[in-house]
Amino acid sequence: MDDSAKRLLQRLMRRIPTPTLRSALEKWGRLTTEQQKSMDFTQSKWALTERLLGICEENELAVKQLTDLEMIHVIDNPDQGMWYAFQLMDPEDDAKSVDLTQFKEQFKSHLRELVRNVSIKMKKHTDEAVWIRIAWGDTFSRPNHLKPTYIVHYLQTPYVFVTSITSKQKPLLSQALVLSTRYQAIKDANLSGRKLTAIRDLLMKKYQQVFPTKYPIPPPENNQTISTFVLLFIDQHIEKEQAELAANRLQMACEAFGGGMLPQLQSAVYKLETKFRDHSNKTMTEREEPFRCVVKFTSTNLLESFRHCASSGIASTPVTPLLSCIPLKGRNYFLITDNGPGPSSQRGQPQV
Amino acid sequence: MTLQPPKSNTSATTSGCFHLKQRNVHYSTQHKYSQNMEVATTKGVLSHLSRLEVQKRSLKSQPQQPGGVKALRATVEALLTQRDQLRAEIQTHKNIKKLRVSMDKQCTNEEEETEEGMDEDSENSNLLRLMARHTQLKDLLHAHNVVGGYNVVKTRQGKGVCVSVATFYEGVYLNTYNLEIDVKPTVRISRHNVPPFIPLNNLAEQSNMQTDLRTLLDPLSQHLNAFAGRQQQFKFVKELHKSVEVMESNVLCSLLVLKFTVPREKTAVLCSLDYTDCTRSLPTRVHFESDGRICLVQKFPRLYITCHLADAFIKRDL
Repeated sequence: MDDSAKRLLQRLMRRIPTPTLRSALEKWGRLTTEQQKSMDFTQSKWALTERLLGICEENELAVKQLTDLEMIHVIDNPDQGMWYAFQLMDPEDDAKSVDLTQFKEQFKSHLRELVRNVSIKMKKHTDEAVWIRIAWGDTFSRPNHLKPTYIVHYLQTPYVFVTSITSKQKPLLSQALVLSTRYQAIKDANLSGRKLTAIRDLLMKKYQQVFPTKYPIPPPENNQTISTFVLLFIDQHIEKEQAELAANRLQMACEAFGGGMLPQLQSAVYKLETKFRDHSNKTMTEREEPFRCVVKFTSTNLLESFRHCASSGIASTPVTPLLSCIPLKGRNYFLITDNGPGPSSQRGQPQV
Repeated sequence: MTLQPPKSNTSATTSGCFHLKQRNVHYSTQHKYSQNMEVATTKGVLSHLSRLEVQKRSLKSQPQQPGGVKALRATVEALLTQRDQLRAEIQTHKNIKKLRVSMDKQCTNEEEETEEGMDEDSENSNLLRLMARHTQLKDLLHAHNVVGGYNVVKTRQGKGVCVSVATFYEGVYLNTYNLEIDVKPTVRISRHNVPPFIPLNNLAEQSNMQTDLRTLLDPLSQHLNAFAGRQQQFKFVKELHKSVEVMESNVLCSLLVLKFTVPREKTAVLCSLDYTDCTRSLPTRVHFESDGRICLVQKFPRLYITCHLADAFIKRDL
């Protein structure tokens, strides 16, 4: 095994945690049953790495097979790293009949035309997702397998999810994607997150949405535990009076954000470019440049937090469109500018 | 319990039970007349005349009046009861109409509790209420069919609607998709849960939704139902035929490649199903390949194109 393969294996072993290592190795299928048995998973990571290095040398495995193992691990644990969503625009007429074989061939040939030394691996997952692993090289150097880019795409949908890509590699990837999927352009969807499953579910509308009906939804069960606790301190009559208002708030909150389990977004960023409006402060109002500020919301489950704010009354209902457009438009990065015609305008409508 | 999908073009018919009774009365008098005519023609005119003479003589001797009067009185009573029945039915219809007006008003203003004072006792009024509700539901169903079978709910004080499009396959209801549409100032889709591989934006652009919303909803329903049908068929094939291996599929279920073994010859066959028309749940093209060459099995393609996927697999095995 050459040095680059050894380094790749060491990096892999650092990345893959021990509990998932056994199943990853089994799926990989490159170890014989005796070799599999000889791996003692109670040992330290360092010891395991050494053992695996020995096995790979026995089986004469190279970088190509090791990248298989990495891909298996990433596909099974997609909620790591930072994922960015892109949207393909303006499909051609034959975009909906692009099948897997055609996509694979076209993507590989287009990317290889653009980049001299590139290693591409494509794999179809059981949930119809096409996973692509790219190791980038250039005219003078071989592909760098230590910093691969992963891409996920569902055929016949306009969304592409990408992780670990540099700004130089982005236009090359965009071109290859647009040509192979038979669309005309690709743009940033302004949605990012640590969990691929979350941003995918948000864009593919795979979570439960709530629509206005004649019969509002009953309150969820966890509310009961809160209310029994609160009842110790609050009069039962107040609870009864507030019941209808609470049900209305819950209905509006669920219509804005969704019902049940929500996709786990971690942050939302609003970049505001506006004018300072306090007339008592002349120095600030007379500035020519727009007043810039950034508002960032972070949470372990941002949409759940927003929904709870609305249903408990902390945020006023009906939910402001600035918050409800996160699930509506499927983005968590917004640039808000004034609509007014100049610095002296009194009323500026926020435009997203 | 499975619900039946809505049938189109069923018009509500009212039953007129009193019409039947009238016909019955007519029938009995007509029958007597025809009987007499038959008797007259078979036995000869002279004998008939002599019989009439005998009858007249017996009429004179017998007190005919009471018998005739009795029969007439009986018919008068029957007609009187019939008239009362008809009058009662008219009254019922009038009461139901009144009830319907108040019921419809109650539905629109949910806070008002208008109680129409009923003169009848409580049992009668309950029955009337039920009958009024029955007619109300029949009218609602008729209106529902007129709208095209889509559930529509008014939102935002009349400035928007929420339309539900139901999908079903072989009598089983599957997913329901919703569209929230702003009606004022222009007709515009504001929110929906239609998956991204259904070309909703294209359909909206090509439709005439400013004037007729159904030009958007009908093609959308076609697409969604076809997709639901394809998805169900694919699911059934995977579940019922474990020997079938899926080589390729996509989220839209429009390109499927399946591998199966012909039972007797034990050869592997690759079957590619191409659903180019996304508004249909039957394939447009079926392609068979075995050992790299195209199969000469000619009867199979027609089978796959005319009937659904899972059924075709069952038929193939037989």
